[in-house]
Amino acid sequence: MRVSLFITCLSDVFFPGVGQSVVEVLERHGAEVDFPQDQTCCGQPAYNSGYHKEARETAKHMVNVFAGSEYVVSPSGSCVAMLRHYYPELLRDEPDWAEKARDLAGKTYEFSEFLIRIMKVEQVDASLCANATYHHSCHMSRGLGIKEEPTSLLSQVKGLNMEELPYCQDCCGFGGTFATKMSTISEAMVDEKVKHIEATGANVLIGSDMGCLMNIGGRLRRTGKDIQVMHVAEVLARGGEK
Amino acid sequence: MATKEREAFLNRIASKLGRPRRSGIKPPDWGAKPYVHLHEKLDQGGLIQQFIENLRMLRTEVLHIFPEEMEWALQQIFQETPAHSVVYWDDERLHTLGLSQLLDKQGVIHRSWDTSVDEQELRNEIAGIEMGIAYAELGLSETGTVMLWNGGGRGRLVSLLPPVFVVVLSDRTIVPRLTEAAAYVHEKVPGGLPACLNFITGPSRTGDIEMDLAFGVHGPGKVHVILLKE
Amino acid sequence: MSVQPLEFFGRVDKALIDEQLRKAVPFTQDRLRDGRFQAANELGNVEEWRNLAAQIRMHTIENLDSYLEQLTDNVVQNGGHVHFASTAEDAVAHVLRITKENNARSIIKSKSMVSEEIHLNKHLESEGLRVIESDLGEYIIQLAGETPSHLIAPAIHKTRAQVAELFSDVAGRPLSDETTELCQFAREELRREFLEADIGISGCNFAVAESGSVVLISNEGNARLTTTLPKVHIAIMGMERLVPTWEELDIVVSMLTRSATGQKISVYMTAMSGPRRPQDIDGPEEFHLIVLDNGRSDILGTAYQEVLKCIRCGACLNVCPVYRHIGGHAYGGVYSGPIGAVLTPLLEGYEEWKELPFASSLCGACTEVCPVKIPLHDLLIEHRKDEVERGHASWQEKLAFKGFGYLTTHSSLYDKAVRAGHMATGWLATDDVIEKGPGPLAGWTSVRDLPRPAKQSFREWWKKEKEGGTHGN
Repeated sequence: MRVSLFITCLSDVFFPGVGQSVVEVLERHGAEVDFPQDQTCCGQPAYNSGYHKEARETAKHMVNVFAGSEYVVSPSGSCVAMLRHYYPELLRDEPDWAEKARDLAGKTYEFSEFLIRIMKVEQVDASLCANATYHHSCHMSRGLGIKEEPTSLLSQVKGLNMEELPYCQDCCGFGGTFATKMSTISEAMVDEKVKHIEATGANVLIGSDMGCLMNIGGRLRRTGKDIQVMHVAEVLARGGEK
Repeated sequence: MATKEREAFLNRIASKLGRPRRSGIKPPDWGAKPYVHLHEKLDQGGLIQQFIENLRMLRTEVLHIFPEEMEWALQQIFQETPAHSVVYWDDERLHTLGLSQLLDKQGVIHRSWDTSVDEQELRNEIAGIEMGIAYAELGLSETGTVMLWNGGGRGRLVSLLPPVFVVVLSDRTIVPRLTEAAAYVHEKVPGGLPACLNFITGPSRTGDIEMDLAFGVHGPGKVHVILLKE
Repeated sequence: MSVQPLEFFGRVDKALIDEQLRKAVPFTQDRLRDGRFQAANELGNVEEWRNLAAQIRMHTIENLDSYLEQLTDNVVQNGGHVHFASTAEDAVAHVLRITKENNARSIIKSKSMVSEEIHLNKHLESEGLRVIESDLGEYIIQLAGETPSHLIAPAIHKTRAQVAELFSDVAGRPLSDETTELCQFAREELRREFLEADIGISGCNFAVAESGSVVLISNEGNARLTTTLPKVHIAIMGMERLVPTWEELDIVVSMLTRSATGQKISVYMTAMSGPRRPQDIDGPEEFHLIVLDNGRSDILGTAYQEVLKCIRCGACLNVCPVYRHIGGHAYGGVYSGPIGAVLTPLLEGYEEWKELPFASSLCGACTEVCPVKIPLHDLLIEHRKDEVERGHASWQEKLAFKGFGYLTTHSSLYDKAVRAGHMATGWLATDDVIEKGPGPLAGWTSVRDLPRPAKQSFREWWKKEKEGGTHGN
């Protein structure tokens, strides 16, 4: 099984460890991973801000980058939602491109979704001694309908105790440029999220979108809370080599 | 209605929709009936049971009795909710039950919604009356709703102004849900509907003060249902 | 038409420091959304219901001219009067004319968002008419001199202590903050108003075209009193608020009450089909239906058409994380929450409302619960697009996204930019964390820390570890 990694701009720049973990876990389960070097960003910042002309060009670029891929896997529910739902929509008036966009949409998967639905992974062979809780990011749970996959993977991690996060359906206040444009509202939202995370007693917050985790993690750090944030892939990469 | 005004209004809609004016459209057959599974396993007895339970959850007691037990039922109601004056529909179904005589026996002042009297006088009088009694056309099992077919002697204020409302209906008229009631009304449309139809589900309530449930802020705060075994 | 003294961010700041509001709104929001969640679960097949309700609403809107024609013919046939209002001013003029024709002095109202939309009370009062809101929540905010902050729970932001204070002023004696005492007081006070009012004004939850009926839904019974006691009843409806027949009414009502409060049905559903009949001795002698456009027809045939499916249940407000923290008034318009953020700029333009489409993290919670499947968060993105295209964005932002477009379509340049990230941010970072960023980063770092771009980006790691290569392409 040949898998092209779509790293996402955030992980590429800020969290390379997430990408390394994705590669490690996919390879461990028998996938052959490649990394098309020409990939850039999914274009969501432009799309969500109303710059659809720019987003359309970005989408075409990405469609070309992954044209030869068998599967495209990404450690971000939000970016996958962009490719899956909005590329075909953005390019609908250009039939050739729309066709290519639908092709990309059909072979693109979020990391945990890919492990469970396509690779049929049943044993994760990972261990992490921690008290953790899981943040369901909005675009992943609502946009893609992926809710069970990451938590079922995490439930197999040895030593990991998962606590249910109250109000887990509520947005963390990231929302891309929303976090900077409407920073005071975003602050109120992330503070409530932090309050709920603290209520679980967890010392690790696990998620599937580095956007949310960068937001929550940044607020945790700013307010001096000793809670670590990790991507699902980083958790699953732990202890596998032993 | 100024026809010109209407034509301009409707033409604008058609033009915004980018097509010629339409007229006489009928809704399609929707196919989907998402409500069916909610009740398909219930027979009439089950529907009646559900109707009673739903009302109980709305703090409304249902007395399921034979028509001959009306006197007993009224006694129960007056015991629980003391009232000294009653207004009731001028309705054959209530007269047949001998309501007037039964209320005499309870020793309360009562009058029917007599449309031959002066309106203002009647209105002034019933503003102080403590209980209203009406007869419902249908009962909806899923919600514990009763449907009142107002008009003439079936005054709509009877179910509205007094703080206590008593509604009588036959257990043969309990239907699964709003769907059946809507179909019932739909069939009556060609012959004309009354000026006012009411669907009532338990006592008047509000949650406008900190979501704290309170009863009787405008309509009757107490409702009793007499369900006749027929 | 806004009478807001503060601009958007001022209103937001005011809300965020309002401790009462920050407590009251989440409290009520939780109750309402839990109610809806339970009701949806009880149905077991809520998606089927949503699909059907959405189809019904769309069909009605696509054939709006036909159904409005049928509706208004039937209202006239029932003995009622129909008035068409293209604008808010037209609607107000119709109401004022009817009050004059009837020598009316006092008016009782039942909750109606459309009357808020046309600022009816203000106009009636300036003509010297006495106007009383009868829905308990509306009565509370009328006494407080405010506007509703929620579609179905207008006084969501008020605490019981504040209500007790308002009512005590009216009573001229101190009232306790017990709900029952407050409600009893409101009942007595408002009952008097009902009996004396010359005209009752209501909105319209749904009109039924086939029978010319106006259907009103309430829990308190005030809508019934409003439409029964006064001699004249005026119903004002947004032109899209109708269904073809009673069969469709069943579906949309079932969705409305479940979505709004989680009730399977509200306490009172009343269908008014014209004025009292000759054999009746109660009910209004005159019935008027005002059909209001006020910007709605401009939405027809556009990318926003689906917003007209809205049945004003408020479910989108009850799940919105932004509404949760800023409440309804911060939005500034009559309609708040996600539906308000979509609708207000459509009805009143971007000039005054350009921030609203951005007051959302696009989490999609609204779209998920909407009983008629309006793609609310996608329509917010549509607004953002239109704002950019119509030149409402700043030049800095335009420049930034032009740059973004160029960068993300030129791989080698993008590659260089990623590699340069760490070096370029050295001056900003302490221990690989940026605590105070310049320009567009300031909004981010005012609230939270930003990690410094990693020393070795993923693509560099890949090149080195997986391809054994050196820098560059």
